[in-house]
Amino acid sequence: MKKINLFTTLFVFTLFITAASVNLGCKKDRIEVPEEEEEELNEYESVNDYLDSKKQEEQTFEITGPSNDTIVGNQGTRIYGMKSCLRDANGDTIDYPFNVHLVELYTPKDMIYWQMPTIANGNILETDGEVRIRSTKDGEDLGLDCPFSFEMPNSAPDADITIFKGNDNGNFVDWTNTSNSFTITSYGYLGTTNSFGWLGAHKQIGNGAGSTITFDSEVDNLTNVGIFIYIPASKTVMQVYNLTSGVIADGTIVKIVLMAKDASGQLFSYTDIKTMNGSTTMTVSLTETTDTDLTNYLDAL
Amino acid sequence: MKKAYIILALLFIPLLGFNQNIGAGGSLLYNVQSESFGAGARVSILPDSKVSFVPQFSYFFIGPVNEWTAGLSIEMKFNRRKHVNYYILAHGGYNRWLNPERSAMNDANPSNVNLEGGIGIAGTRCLRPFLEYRYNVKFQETHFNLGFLYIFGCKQNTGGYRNRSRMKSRVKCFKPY
Repeated sequence: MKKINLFTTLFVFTLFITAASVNLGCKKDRIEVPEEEEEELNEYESVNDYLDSKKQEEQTFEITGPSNDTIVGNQGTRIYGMKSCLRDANGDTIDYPFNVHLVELYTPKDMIYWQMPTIANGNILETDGEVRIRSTKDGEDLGLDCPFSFEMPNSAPDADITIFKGNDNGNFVDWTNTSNSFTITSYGYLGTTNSFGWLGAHKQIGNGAGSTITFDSEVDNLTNVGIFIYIPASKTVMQVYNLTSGVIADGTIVKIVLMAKDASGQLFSYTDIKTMNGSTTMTVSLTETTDTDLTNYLDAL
Repeated sequence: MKKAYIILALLFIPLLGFNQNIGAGGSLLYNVQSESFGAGARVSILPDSKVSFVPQFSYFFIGPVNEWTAGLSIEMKFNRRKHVNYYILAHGGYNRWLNPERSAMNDANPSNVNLEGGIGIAGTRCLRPFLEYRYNVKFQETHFNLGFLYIFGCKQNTGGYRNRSRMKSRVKCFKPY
């Protein structure tokens, strides 16, 4: 009995296996859903430059003598004489002249431009304004040895508003309640503080209960987009980091604004108003806008 | 028309039955790309010749793709051994895709021309197992065909041609003249 040709058998067997495993030139088009070509997302530059170009400039007041040591900012913030409390880097008292620097944020637009949300450890704050006060002499920052007074204008001050201090954690300024009350005056809120920096007239209203908004887009890369949520009822400004908002109580009406600038300097925005009702993902698509239109929108928040 | 059928039948009668010129069989099918299973039936004309003509029908009914194909395959044996034959084949026919609506393919049509090429290995006895691997040009898919073919009129291991030098071919079935 003649044996099977081993070479031929192995050759054919190998051919089968190779053809079956390699499947060159084969397609599974009939059963596979074709992968949609990933559309290139619109890319944006950092929006920080634009926001910085729009923000309130820090005001500098040169204090030359006792006659002008009470200053009034252009938004109405008053800072009362503090010379006796000022100390240089060595802890020594200083002589005139010295400078007082002031930033006043009383509107959501200014808070947004300064990227100064009113959130304390993730909890929403109701706000009546934020100021930053510091002092220098010959370019060197000065410290405080005792409290000084400041007054924030408000036509209808709230007795529950207290002094919050802002702490820059490297990514944003988080607020901490000093639990020090303001004195309600006919002018607004009169407070004292023994440290420079950010000071806020705030009241915590969030308690960690509520929902979040996650932002997504099929056409825009949101990495460099500035995303802000404004709560009109409490004048709260929230900035969204990593595309997911902080917790907002259900039932709260929020205004949403996204701002971006492309490489050519063209501005883009997306705005919306919604009522919180459970955590949700919002798919957005930015459209071209102008500085005027965007400014008007922020003014009307 | 009736006359044509009669002529056709008369032409095929000599091929039938008694002289091993006809085989019939069935097979199981698996399409690697469409991940579908099916069954097939075929008739082999001149199964012992170097070139065989194989009308066949296949039906894929298990899996994502349901379809049937009717056509004719031409097989050419390139290596004929005592127990196995190796062959290449070309197949042409009509393909009816029964559920193209389930496919995301852009040009999914129910009616298609079928053109396939492949290789195969088959036994040489009366009941011949065979395995084929085919490539479908239209859909760029491959499928396996594993089955049996029975040769009519085959009298395996009976009769007198024990002297191999007297045998005209390598076919093992008894072939009366």
